[in-house]
Amino acid sequence: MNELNYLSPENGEFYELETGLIAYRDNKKDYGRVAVLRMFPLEYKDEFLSVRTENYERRDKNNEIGIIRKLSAFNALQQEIVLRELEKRYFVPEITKVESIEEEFANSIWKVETTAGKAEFTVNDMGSNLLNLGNNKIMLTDVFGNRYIIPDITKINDKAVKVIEIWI
Amino acid sequence: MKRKKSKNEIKKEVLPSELLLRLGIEKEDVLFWVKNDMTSSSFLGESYLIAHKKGVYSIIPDGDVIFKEYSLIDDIFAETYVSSGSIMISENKEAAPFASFSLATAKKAEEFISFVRKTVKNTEEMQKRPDYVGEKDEFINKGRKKLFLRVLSYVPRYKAELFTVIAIIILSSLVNVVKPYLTGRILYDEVLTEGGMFYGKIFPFVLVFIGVNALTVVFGIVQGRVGAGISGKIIYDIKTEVFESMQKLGMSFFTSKRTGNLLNRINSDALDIQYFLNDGLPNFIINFLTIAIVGLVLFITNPLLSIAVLIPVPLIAFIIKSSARKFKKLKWHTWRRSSNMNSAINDTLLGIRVVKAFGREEHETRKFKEISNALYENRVREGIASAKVFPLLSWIMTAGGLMVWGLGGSQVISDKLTFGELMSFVGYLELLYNPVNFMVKTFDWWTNCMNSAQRIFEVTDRERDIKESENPIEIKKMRGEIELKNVTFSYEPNRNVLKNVSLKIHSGEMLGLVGHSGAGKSTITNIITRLYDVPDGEVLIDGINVKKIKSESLHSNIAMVLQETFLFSGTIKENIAYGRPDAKFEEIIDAAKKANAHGFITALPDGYDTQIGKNGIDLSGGEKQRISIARAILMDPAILILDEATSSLDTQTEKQIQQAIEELIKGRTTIAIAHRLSTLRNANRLAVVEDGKIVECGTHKELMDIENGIYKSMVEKQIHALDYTEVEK
Ligand SMILES: Nc1ncnc2c1ncn2[C@@H]1O[C@H](COP(=O)(O)OP(=O)(O)OP(=O)(O)O)[C@@H](O)[C@H]1O
Ligand SMILES: [Mg+2]
Repeated sequence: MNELNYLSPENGEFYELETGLIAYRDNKKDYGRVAVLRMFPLEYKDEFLSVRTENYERRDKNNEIGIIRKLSAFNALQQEIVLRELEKRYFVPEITKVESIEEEFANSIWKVETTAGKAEFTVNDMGSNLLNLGNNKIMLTDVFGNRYIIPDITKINDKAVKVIEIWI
Repeated sequence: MKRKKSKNEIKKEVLPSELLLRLGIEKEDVLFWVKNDMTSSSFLGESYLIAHKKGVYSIIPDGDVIFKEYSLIDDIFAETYVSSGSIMISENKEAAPFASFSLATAKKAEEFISFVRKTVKNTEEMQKRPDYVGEKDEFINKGRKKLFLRVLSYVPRYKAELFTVIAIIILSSLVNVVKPYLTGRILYDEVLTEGGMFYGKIFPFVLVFIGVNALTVVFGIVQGRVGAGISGKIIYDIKTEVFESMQKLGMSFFTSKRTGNLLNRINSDALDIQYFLNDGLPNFIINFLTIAIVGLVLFITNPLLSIAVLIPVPLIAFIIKSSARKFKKLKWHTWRRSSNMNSAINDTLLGIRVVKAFGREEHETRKFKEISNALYENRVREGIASAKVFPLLSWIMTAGGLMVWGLGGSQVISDKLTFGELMSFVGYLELLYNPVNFMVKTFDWWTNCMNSAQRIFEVTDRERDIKESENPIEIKKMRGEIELKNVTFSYEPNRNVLKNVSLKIHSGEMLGLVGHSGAGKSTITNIITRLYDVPDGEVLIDGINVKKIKSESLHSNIAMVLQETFLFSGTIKENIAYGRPDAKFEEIIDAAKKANAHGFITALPDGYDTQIGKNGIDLSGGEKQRISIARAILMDPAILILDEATSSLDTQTEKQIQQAIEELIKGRTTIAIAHRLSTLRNANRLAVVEDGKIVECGTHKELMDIENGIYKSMVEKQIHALDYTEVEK
């Protein structure tokens, strides 16, 4: 069981449980609830996905059912189910507007609007918690480990850009 | 800068009464509640988790409500994702999402879960909990001024030196002011002009002038010396305080990402403060005094001319201030790039064997060239930027000077001003402009220093998370009986590494812990030695909870030999005696002999006095291992922990060390962790750890008798290993 096993619509399907959670079955077995993980979260959103049995946190066990090379191979309904699971697991608010950044010693307090609603968070030591992902994309990590993405730094207001420019 | 007051207070949050009304429940029946911060798995917003006496609610104001009755709950647990998590509740073995939370609430969610768990377990014994008190904000910000005062609060310990420095500072400022007066007013009006008070006395004037200059130099030297003395002592005080608090902090402080960062910077932070106290602060005061005195003198002697002198000052301040940001940016980039370069060098040197083995020299060289090139470009940019700003500044100063010459010249001609006075003014001009530059820069410097101070105080102010109990119990010599009772433990919120572990180890017994990598074996030893405290369950030694045992007793009775042995810089002798600095030479030699280390130690040119890590003496892995075993033997501990003590060694060395270990475990309670099962052949019992639980426990024979047992399958997998046969007996 150490070879790569690619999942395809021919050999199995994703379906939704009553609880709204994602499950998988193939012609041999119904796995029940599964977890879907991105192997290259920064590069591919819907390719190279790893499908695992529920207790995926047990790293010692080989609990990978298989790999989805490209999600687009599956039908629309299944794509939606998988994407919903991925969105939950990789939930990271994207900042659409920066209302204010208060700098205070090594901390900066951000008040922002995001794709997931308004948020206020504190970033400690921007030097190590602000990551330039390239293509004007910035990732911030707050003091609790929550991540926030600025998808395009050229699209947010100048004042905010001024503050973070130094660290980029 | 505005500051919200609430940051400095402990907020006491109240459960909104509208919610209670909506749910139709009484406040008295709420056992526990938590304010949550997500309304769905993809949206942030206020919501609440409420543990009522009948069941749990997840409620969003103006939104959904979920209710689960305790009697139906099989299990409640959390899953954590990248930036968020879910509380899951299973009914009839089927888990369903109950609420989502962001990592900011992860800790509170964990408290909620563990409360609900306990309640589900014994619904009868429900204790009443007070209203939830919002967590104290971890990043309490003390005002800048307070912080500054705190830095200064270290100063008065050195009164005599402080007094000297202040006196010298004042004298220096006075001398500064006197100089232009000498070279202007006195030189031209009194020495060179007929009828002047010192007319013609050029030679004495030069002598006086040289004398005054010499004074400046002397003051500078004295101030530098005394100042360095004080700031050095202050930094010593601060560093000692940091170091002392570090020793007291629990392991979690060092392993947590955020605080780990803090420690990396402590040294450079301390330097920042030192430079500031040494150079920044005294010079700031000198400059400030100089400007004040000069300003006063100028205004009194010639108000009109003083205004001309002062006109460029705001302009200069503005230019310096506005270019400061750009310089800061460039400086940061330079700093970052040079630290990149350092880590590239470090990586390559430390990993040189890997680099060579994989033939990646060229790749590494290319990488290095790129980094070094980027650094070079940045330096050039810095140069260009300063080449733009400084000529501009000097142009403005020159213009200011010309203005004084012009205005003053016409006043000289109309006899309102002597030539000497004009010369003094020109001299004062410089005295004014240079400090402005310095003062503006000092402001940045000050901000930096305060940032550093804040980081340092964050470490010193941190409360110990592993606290000595009020009346700690001292156990001189432990019997070595260890018991874990229903222990649940996690390093990070919501990811339990140990799950309800119970285990008893008798005095003098050797227990082998086996299991896959990451199963939680080392974690079990970490909680026995109390590197971490357990939130749920108990860890008992000799029947006493480790939280109540004096930490000194724990340290003197438990010894660890780990896979990565750590030797301190110092001699071999000191390293062996690390746990017992008072040990006699004979005891040290005896321990080394038992550890099979005596042989190679004596063969070293400096024997037991060999400095480790210096003069090219680098010990092999096995040699270091034996020294650390000798260290443990010398400590004569009641409890011994061997975590992969022999895993990286060849068979020959392992045999030697195995002998040493056999010597060591005699008469002690021993917990041994090993992947190579043959190493555990002396174990009285074995426990298999899997996924944070103990799944099998018994003698080798008992475990081999379990059908489809995990241990059995592990043994079978290793059956081909050369030295396996020894396990069988
Ligand atoms: N300081 C830490 N912070 C966060 N997680 C940790 C920390 N130390 C260990 N863990 C996690 O706890 C789990 C158990 O680790 P532990 O070191 O106890 O495993 P182990 O059984 O000793 O494994 P190995 O045989 O590889 O040494 C692992 O998943 C690990 O990632
Ligand atoms: Mg381990």
